[in-house]
Amino acid sequence: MKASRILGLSRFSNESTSNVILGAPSLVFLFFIIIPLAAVFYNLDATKVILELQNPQVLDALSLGAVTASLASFLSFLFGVPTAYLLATRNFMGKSVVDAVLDVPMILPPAVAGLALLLAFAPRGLLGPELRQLGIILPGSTLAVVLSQFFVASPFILRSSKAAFENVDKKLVDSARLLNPSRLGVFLTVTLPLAANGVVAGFVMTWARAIGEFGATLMFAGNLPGVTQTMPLAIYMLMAEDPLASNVLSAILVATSFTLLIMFRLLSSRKKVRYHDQA
Amino acid sequence: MIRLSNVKKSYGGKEVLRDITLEVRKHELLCLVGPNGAGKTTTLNIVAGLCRPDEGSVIINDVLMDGRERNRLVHVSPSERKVGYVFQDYALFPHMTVSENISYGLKSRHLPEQEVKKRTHTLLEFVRILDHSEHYPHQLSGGQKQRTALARALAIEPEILLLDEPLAALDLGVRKSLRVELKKILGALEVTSIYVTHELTEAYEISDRIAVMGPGRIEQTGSCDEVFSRPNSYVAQFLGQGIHNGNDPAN
Repeated sequence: MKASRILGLSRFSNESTSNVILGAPSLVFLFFIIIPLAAVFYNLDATKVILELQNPQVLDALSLGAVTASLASFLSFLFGVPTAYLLATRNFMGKSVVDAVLDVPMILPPAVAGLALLLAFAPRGLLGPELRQLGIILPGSTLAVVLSQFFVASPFILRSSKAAFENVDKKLVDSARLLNPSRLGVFLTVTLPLAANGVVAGFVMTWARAIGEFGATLMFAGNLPGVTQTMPLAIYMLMAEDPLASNVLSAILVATSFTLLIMFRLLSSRKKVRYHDQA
Repeated sequence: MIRLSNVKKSYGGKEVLRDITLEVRKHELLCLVGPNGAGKTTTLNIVAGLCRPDEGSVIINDVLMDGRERNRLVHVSPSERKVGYVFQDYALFPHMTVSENISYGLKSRHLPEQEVKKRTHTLLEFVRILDHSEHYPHQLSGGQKQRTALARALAIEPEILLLDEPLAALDLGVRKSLRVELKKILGALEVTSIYVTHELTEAYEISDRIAVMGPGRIEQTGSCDEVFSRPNSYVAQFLGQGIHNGNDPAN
């Protein structure tokens, strides 16, 4: 209203005109997202999906993707949650630098991440000789897939958990400290439950990012069916020789991502209802 | 007994407590009165051990809690001080029921389950919240939250009870009746208490003695009658503002 009046457009500034002005770009935007998503499902029917689910390469990619993404998310949880708690509750020298460095994988192009992992951990890389002595050769191994996904996806759980820990009311922790002699007890009974939604939401986002990982995995782990070929790699490889398989895999990924997104949203909204309704 | 001697505390270069010396006698209720930002809550947090004083000492029942002993810096952790604390907005654990909130301290100290149940029940009855024992904090009224917070603080049988503006979060309408009730409950307890408020009427009605705080220091200490009838210049000014705001303690 105000802006249009300043611009001398007041006679256009009734509610319905502004609805059109705002609605048109939103609608175009929405369709730009929806049409490709719908196209993934357009050619599919149940028989085709069932047929492809008997294709060993599709099955391998599915199971490998799910297992590696779960392992990568578990690793992210194991390292990410304590780090998030440290960053949220302690002050130390160089904290902002640590904080920034841990965010780098999120903005790094995945192909660069993959190359960087190669340069560091491949047999001829920075730490290659040491790893070789331990009998570990990463490129071409399933472990390399997990590490690529961990590298790229871990910032999600770190960010989300850190914000969740920061949002826990300090007075609640103080009350608990007065009543509970054990510091770990305070963390497990008060801090962690109150931050749980944020941690779980971060886990979900990490898993979603990990299962879709492409660039870093391709560069670092390679593309060996059954060993390093996850769903996105299979989608890319099968596009020429077996477009239907590629299509089915894509549909599964879209459905999975969508489910995860809904879970993430439910988690975020439940927190608001339960804890912030305290007036 | 609580004794603070020359306690100083700064946050990020800002002096919050300049020089606090204060004594609370055994089983007495001392009201800490003063304007917002005087450092009343920080004083409570120091007694509770939730923050450490930069200088000075804290003694509770003849035991040094903060300070120096033979050149060693002493700090007793909050849970070992036997302090019950009722926070300003009660700080009830939102993910626990009333009964879980109250039994939290007992369970954390690994008391036998039977004992925990018995004591929780007694407390639920004592603060008259038995009917709401399975409710979550967001389902409670202000007064019910306050009583739950009090019961939770009392569960560990504290020797010291700290109350930070326990009535401030309540509607004016219920405040007066709850004040009377709170006085009755506190009167029944044998506990040394510090009660923070910025309401003179409240302090007058509830306390054995009062201490008036100015920015970062204690301005005057004494019985209510002493302080109200012979205020020093700072206190006179503070009382004057109170009267101006319709808070005349003489009423």
